[in-house]
Parts: sequence; structure tokens; C-alpha cells
Amino acid sequence: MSFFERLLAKPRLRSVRQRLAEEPSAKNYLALAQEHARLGQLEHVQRVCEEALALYPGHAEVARLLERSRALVGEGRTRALTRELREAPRPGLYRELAELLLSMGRIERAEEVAVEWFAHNGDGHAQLLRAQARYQRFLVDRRREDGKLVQELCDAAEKLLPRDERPLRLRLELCSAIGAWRDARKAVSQLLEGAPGDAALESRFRTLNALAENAPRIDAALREVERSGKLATEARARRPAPSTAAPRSIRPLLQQLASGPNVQAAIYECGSTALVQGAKGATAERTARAVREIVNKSRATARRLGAGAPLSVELEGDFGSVMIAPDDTGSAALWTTRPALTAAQRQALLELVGAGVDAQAPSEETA
Amino acid sequence: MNEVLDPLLRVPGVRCVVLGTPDGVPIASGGDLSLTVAAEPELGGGLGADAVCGLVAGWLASLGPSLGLVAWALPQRIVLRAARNTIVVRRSPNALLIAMLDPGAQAEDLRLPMEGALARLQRVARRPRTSAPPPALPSRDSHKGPASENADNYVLPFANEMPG
Repeated sequence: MSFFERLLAKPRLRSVRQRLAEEPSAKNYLALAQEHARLGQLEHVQRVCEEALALYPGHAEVARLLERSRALVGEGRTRALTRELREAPRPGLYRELAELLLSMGRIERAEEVAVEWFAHNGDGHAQLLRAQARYQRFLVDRRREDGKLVQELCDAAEKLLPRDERPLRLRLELCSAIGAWRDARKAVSQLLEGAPGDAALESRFRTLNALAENAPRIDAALREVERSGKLATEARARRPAPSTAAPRSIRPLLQQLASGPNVQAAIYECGSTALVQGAKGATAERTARAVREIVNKSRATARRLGAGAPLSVELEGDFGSVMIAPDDTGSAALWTTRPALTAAQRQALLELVGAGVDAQAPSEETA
Repeated sequence: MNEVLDPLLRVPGVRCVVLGTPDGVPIASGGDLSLTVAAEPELGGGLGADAVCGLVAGWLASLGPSLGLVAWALPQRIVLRAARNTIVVRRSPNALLIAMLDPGAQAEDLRLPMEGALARLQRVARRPRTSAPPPALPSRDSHKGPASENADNYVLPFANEMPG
């Protein structure tokens, strides 16, 4: 920004500040933050946005501006650190850069920096950071290979950092996430060796002791997570109670979808229950089972291809077209005899699965 | 095969394209596969065209029994939209065309280009080869070829035409 522009901006900034002092509304906070952003004063933007969010929590525009300014500050620091590392690499810079990238959600780049750092001086912290980055990726993709690598990296970090409890904590987190309770119990007992008498750890040990009876080993648990796409914590937290956010019944939505032209069947599945509109009897049962199998197989393939969790599967052929929208809680599917689904039908299906509908409503046909 | 794959790679949002046989053997590929499938244990180790083609072919084969439950034939076009990217597969009787798209890209934008690519592929497959490799053994008609143009001069006379 030129000198003249800066000079002209000053009275504008002053008037916006005065307006805010007279009326501290979210709109005025936003105006002040935008004025600072125009001047390139990102620290001021963050300060104003944080102040606004304290008064108006959840204001979408202010939150978006804060996020954007944080990202810009992070980008600037990332560039500076990369430049410094190129000139004279040292562990502190590697650590800051990797942690910054991880906090910004740039997992792959963070892992690359950790690998470079480890190659530079063989630091155990580098292995730990790489394990943390890979664990983040595992949470997104749910791939068995990622989980195994986290385990190996934790082993390596434990050897290099024998008195550090962070690798053990990460291992505990991984094992708890996938439901490998026996391995989680082992990690807690190792942590207790370092901190005997820790009440929280002792309590956790007792809980894990109760769960560990028939728990799978870590490899089997990872395989199950890859197959189902669900972490153990998610599987346990699967809601049996109706959603309060969208207290609609599923049947009217399915009926509305099924009443469309050329629609053969509209299906919603949740666990072992399937609600089918359109098709009847054995056909409904077979269709629901086919949808469930297609979802399971597509989920595994998407993960193996590194594409992450599947959001929708569309099949087009001689039978018409089928769209399946899987979710953590269930799957919705629509089968029409048309060559392709319309945009409205696609949208309705995605809304159906994303609406958190109450799947406990009585079913027309149960498969 | 570039004339088949290049138009697809020019569509915005397409990361890579793989052409393979229905049983999962890659024929040609274009674009950046290493970026597409970077979720390997070691960094930088992408799955590669052969693995992508194999995985997709295996997936389609595994769908067969499930589709058979409702008497659906194997689909011609499959779109798998996932968190990281979208996979579009166009199946023809003798080829599998796989495209991987960036997260924001629309699979519908690829519908016509993929149809066109398959049509071009069929044309390429039908085109006669201009320079065929020489056969290992001479064919029955080899006496009619240029190499045996003097062969007609050595036709033996019939027995009743023999002098004496």
C-alpha cells in the first residue's frame, strides 16, 4: 500500500473505531477488522476478531475473517522459516515449521519437513512429529498402512526419546481410537511406570482393564477400521437417540424421493435396519443388501486409493442409475430408470443423509 | 494412446488418467499419479498406474456379486466421490478408463470427454496397421508377394505336355 493510500485510510479507520465505540455491534467489529485487513495489519485483525467473537460467539463472518487472517499469518511465517532453513538449517526451525504446518492442516507438507529434519540430524522429535502427522492422516483416511506406520514411528521415537512420554501418549491415542484395548492398556501401564500414582492414568487403566478381555490386537483392529471406516470411539458413540437438530422422520423424505418420475426405489440404511420405499418384499430386501455391500466395498477401495472417506457412489448402466450417499451413521440410496440422476435428486439424497434424520421411525420394509 | 488421453488431461481438475484392460492391466497413463495416491507408507511413493488400475478393476469385480443380487449388470460408468478426490471410471467391453479428479472438480464435466476418448480408442483399435512386422514363417500366399515375383516362370509342365 502506498504512502498516500495509508494516509487516506487513517481518517476512515478513526471513524470506524468511533462507530464501534458508540455501538459495539458485530457489524461494526467486522468493519474495523476489514479496515485493518485492508491496511495489511493482520495482528490487529486477529485481535479485533477475537474481541468480537468473545462478545458474539459463533458469528460466521467474523470467524471466517479470523481464520483467514490466521492462515495468512501462518503462510508468512512458513515462508520465512522455509527461507531460513534453506540458508542455515537447525532443529528449532524444523520443529517450528513442522508444528506450524500441522496446526494449519497441511499434513503432507508437515510430514515432509519431519522426514527432512530426521535426515538432517536423526532427532527423535522428528520421528515423533512425523508420527503425529501420520496419525492425523490416519484419522482422515482410516488406512491400515497409516496406522501401522504410526505404530512403527512411535517405536522409533520411544527408542530415541526414552524419557519422553509423548510417543506413549500418541500410541495410547491410536490404540484407543481403533479399539485395541489390550495395547492401550500396555501403553497406560508404561506411562504409569513413569508417573506412578497418577490418578487419571490409574482410572484409565482400570477402564481399559475391563475392556481388554476380548479386544483385538492392533493389526486386527486396524484392519477392522479400514474395512468399516469407523473408529472404535465412533462405533460406540453411534446415536441410538433421535437427533434434536433435525427431528424429522425419514419416511416422508423417502416417500417424497420415491414419488419422483422413474424412481424404482429409495432406501435409507442405518446399521442393520433398512427403510425402503418403492420396491417391495424380497426385491426391497435384496436391493438394500446390495446397497450395503456396494458401500462397504467402495469404502475400502477409496481408502486403498488414498482418496479418503467416500461421500457418494454413482453407478450408471442398463439398469438405470443408482446413487448411494454413505455417512458415518447410515447410507441413503436412490435407484431410477433414467440414465442419470437429476441435480435435484442428488441434492435431495445428500440432504437426506446429511440431515441427521431420525432413523428410528417404523419402517415400510425392513431388510 | 496420447491422442486418447490428452483431451481428458486438458479438462480442468483432472489429475491423472489411466487406461487399462478390464482385468486391471494398465495400457497407458497420463498426469501426475504420484500426487493422486500419496497415501503410501513411505513419502513420495505413489501407487502407480498398475496399482490404480488393479485396485479399480478389483473393485468392479467385487461389485459384480452385489449387483447380481438385484439382477443389475456391471455399470458402464461409476463415480466415486471421496474426501480427497473423485474417481470416475468408464467401462467398455475391452477397456477401462479411469480418471482421478481434484476435490472441487465435477465428474459431470468429464462425461462427454470420456465418451469421446472411448470412441477414439475404438477408432484407433480399428485402424489398419501401416507397417506390420514380418511374419515368422512365409504364408500360403507368399508366392504372390513381391519376393516371389519370378516364381511363375518356374511352373512345371503337365505330364501330357512333356515332349516325347
